[in-house]
Amino acid sequence: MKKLSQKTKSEIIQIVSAIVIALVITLIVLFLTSKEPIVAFTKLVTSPLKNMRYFGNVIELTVPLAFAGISASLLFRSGLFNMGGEGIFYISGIVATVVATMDISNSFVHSALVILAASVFGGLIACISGYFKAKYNANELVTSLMLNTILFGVGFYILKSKLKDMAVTGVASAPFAETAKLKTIIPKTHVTTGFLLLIVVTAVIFFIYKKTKLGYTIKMTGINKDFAKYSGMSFFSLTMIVHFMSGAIAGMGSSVHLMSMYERFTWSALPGYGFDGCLVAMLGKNHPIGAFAAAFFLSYLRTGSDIMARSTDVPVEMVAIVEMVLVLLITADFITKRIKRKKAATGGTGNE
Amino acid sequence: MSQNYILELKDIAKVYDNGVVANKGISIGFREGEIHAIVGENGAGKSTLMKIIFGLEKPTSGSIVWNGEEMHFQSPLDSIAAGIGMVHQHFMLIPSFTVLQNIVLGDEPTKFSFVQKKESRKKASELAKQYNFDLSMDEPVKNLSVGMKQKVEILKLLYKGAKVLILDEPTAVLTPQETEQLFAELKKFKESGHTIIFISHKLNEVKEISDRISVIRKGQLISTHNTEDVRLEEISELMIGRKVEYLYDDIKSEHTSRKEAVKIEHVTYKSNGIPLLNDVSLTLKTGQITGVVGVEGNGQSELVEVLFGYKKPESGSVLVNGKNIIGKKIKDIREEAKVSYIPEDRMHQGIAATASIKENMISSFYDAEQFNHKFYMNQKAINTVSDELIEEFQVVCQSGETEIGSLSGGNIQKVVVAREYYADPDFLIAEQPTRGVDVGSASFIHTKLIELRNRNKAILLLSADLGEALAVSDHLLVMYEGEIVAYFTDMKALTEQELGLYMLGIKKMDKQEIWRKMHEEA
Amino acid sequence: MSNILALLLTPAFGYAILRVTTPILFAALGNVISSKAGVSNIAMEGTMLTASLAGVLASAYSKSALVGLLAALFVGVLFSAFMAYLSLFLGTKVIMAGIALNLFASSFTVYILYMFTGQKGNSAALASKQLPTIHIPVIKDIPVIGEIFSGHNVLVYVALLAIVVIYVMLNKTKLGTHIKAVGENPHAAASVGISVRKIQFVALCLSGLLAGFGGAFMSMGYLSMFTRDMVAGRGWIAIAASAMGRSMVIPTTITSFLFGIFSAIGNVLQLQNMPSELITTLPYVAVFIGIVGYSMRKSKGEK
Repeated sequence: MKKLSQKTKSEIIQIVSAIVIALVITLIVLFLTSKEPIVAFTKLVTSPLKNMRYFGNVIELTVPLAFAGISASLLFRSGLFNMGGEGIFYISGIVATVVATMDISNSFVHSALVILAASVFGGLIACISGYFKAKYNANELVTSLMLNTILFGVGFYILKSKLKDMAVTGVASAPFAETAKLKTIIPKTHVTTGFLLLIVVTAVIFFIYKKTKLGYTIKMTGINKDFAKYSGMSFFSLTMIVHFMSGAIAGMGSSVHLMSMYERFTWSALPGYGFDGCLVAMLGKNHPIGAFAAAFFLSYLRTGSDIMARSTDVPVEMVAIVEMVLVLLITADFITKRIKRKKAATGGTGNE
Repeated sequence: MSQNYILELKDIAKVYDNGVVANKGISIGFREGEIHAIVGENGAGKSTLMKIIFGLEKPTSGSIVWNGEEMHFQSPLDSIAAGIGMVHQHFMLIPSFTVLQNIVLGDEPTKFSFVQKKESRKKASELAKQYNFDLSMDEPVKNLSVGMKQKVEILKLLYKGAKVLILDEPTAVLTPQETEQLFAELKKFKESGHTIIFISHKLNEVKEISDRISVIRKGQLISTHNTEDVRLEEISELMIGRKVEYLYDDIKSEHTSRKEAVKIEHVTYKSNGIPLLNDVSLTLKTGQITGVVGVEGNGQSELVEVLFGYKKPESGSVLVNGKNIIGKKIKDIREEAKVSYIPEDRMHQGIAATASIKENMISSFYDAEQFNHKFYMNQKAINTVSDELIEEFQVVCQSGETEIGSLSGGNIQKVVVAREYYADPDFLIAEQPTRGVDVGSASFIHTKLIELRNRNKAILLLSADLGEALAVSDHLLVMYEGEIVAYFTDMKALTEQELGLYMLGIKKMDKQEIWRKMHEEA
Repeated sequence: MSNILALLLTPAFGYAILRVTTPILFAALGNVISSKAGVSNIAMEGTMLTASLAGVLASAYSKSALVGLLAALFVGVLFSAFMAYLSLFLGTKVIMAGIALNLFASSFTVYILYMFTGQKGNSAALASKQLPTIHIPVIKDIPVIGEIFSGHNVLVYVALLAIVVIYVMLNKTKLGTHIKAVGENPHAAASVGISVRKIQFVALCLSGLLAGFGGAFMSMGYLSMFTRDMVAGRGWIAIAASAMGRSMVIPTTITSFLFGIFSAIGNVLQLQNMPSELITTLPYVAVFIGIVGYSMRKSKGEK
């Protein structure tokens, strides 16, 4: 147990120092580019806590980011580098829209159906890359990125030709039925029951990782594929299962987000959540609770930078610098290595 | 032989970042024109010492004196420039490059940064001629035999002007006949004034070839002797601190009724049309360890891969306890046919290095009822079994939670053996089970294999260490070019020399004879 | 249908193939170099994007297309050097660093663009320069051939030249030999004193240089300005081309052209009365089918 806590401790040190370094770099960038760096920095860091609405915004954005992050972390943890969450967010959104514009009287049944349809569809779509990876070892990074663009093309075509509401200008679907939308749990925000669903999903994935055979198989395959094969684990079925789960969680995230925040489907470009999910997964060290925390943190930063951009001369894209510094510091292992080395040097027993 | 030291190590110590002490206070002088053997168990610190001489590692303290001058090698570049070359245990060759490209690699003559082949070809060919190396300069190295590759390695060093040649376990991959040839060449180098540092743990070879012997144990120099003044038994004792011989006759129980456990019939496996297994038929019996020897690349690994479901043969059948295993998944072969496998490459196949010992201890039966509740894994059962095995197999570690990759090679191998042993197999495939393992652990692993044998299980033992194969096996076969070319039932009457003749394909038994021996009652 | 065919059989179509293949070819060749050294650079997308913005900004402020090109190349190398530093010295997995940097480039370029122009969509407000087009004497007067091969942006010819240069570099020079040695057996390379890190660093920088050319072509040849996410997956298509070309120069060139042809077909079809959303996916579908088909054949071959 002592060893475990030591590992966690060094990881926490790494994360905290990464955040500190990232904030310092942000401050430097602001000083270089902005006329009012202190104001901008204060806005960035504190404004989400100013009022409930802003904080609600943080939670609202946490939901899709966390779903996407958990989705990506499942794949990364199994040693699969698939970035297809992006296209799945889009195409599952189209599926959710189709179901959400149907006429179903029971509210619980309707919203459940929307989420179920989007999840199952997302899972199946993810299995396309998964199948070719599992069966023929086709590079899943390339196939999934190609699929993103293809799925967007197909989805946008369906939106324009089949779902478009002629009564409104611009490309938008018919309005979602009230029964399909998720119930708000914090008044005056768009924080809905979808947030509770996220907590459940996080807990389930955590349980799977920690306690189940599937979690064990995912971990072993992620560490050493040849070893997993030698142990009798089937790479084919694991790849399929993980891809399905990952796609389903992305699809779920998309539908939950749409049914919480939107009146109609209006995406005329890829939404970006799938890619953000990859960042979230890396920041969260491919761990569901880590992903949840990372999503909250990113969402906080983005909400903060959004508010900052509205009242200062700094554009919202500035936040990309902070994010990249964070991701790079956290995926690099030099900080933990340095801690280890220090320990060895000071005569700590070196079993690491 | 001159009495001057061309290379002198003074008080060398090496402590790694993680606190492991690999070398401590080592001082050795190497004379010009001598063959100086460094002997020691695996893990004694020989390799680290050689890496320090060669500039791959920096010593924590101490100095290297070259021709009376203190040197600070920053990289192999410096040591090569000084005149030190090393033939590594795993060949340092680029497979797709030609012999010539490999020889000049790192030191290519260029004109306007374009590689010029002419002069290097001339120089390399002359050297090859001088030492009677029969090498075609334009052949890609991947097409060469192991012995030939070693020649390329040596030529590479001579080309770069090495005065001192370090050879790390050079005979481990050679047949006895190739070894003889190598020794003849080494003597020639000696005569032409080269110094050879010969690392080995095969004492009879050391006795044959070397002028002096230095013994290293637990990172320290124990002593240096003139070879002619010292007996093998003494060296052996100095090396391990106690006497160990592989003698297992006493613990092998007598079996009266051996039954057929594994029946391999007419198995042919081809890759790109070339038969790597050619009509192999073999019967393995219960309560019997069947050894397999052969020069690397003569079908041994393919045989294992077919038996464990990695590869599907073109034709033939394999029955384990009467059940066909061809076309079956590894999982089914493990669970239904009850086959276990200790793989040759433990780091890449046998373990998940960054997972815990515990997680690695149960991987071969993670699916078993014993370790699973309905929805989740039974951590308690896993901990119990893992702790039991750690104790029974004397795995030196803090706890089952320790990352397995942080253990020594011998301890990692014990985990692998413990796991495959616990699976309670009817048929165990053990591929190089003691490679890179210290003598103590090796003999422990042998005992465990024999224990399984005594419990009436069938065992296939593949080993490159002929001593091990002879000591542990009940029966022994030789593979050559994808075929079984010899089968022996009496280990006492067999010598390594004779095995070598079959391994090189100079002698062959006919198929009837092999079949008869395989099936005669013990 | 017949008029589509007629469009595809014109010299203009041949001209278009060369034009759309150029950025893919640059990036694919860049990936080849890094793959040969055993560190496949998957950040081609982000490197090209960043370089294309650098080219526009530098050319607009210096009023010189050449300075723009040099800036694009410099930024391309710098970007890759940064990634190389992360993965070779700080221990970030090269694939993770690649993914992160690609995502970073997408927002970072918008940020920089906004800093300079106040716009987030494109650089139309800047008077950036274009690299010159070249009319090849003699060839330009040959019918059909002249129309296909002459009158391209100078970087199109640089790309074609790069095929030869990289082929020679990898097979005939000391650097190329060392790159291949490091990629094939790093221990062996290190044992003769070749610095594996240094060679991999150089290889990654060279891949960045080629991505820099690709980026410069995008914003100073293919288009005459920078637009948000203008590389649009070409970096990934290039990686697919390099993978299918087994990281060898000639096969990778062929696969790059194959994907270029599909992009060109897509561009032609878009002008027809067909749903543009679906037509734009054509090159991506081609890459998808290509990489799957290639993997199927390969896995069959291994069996």
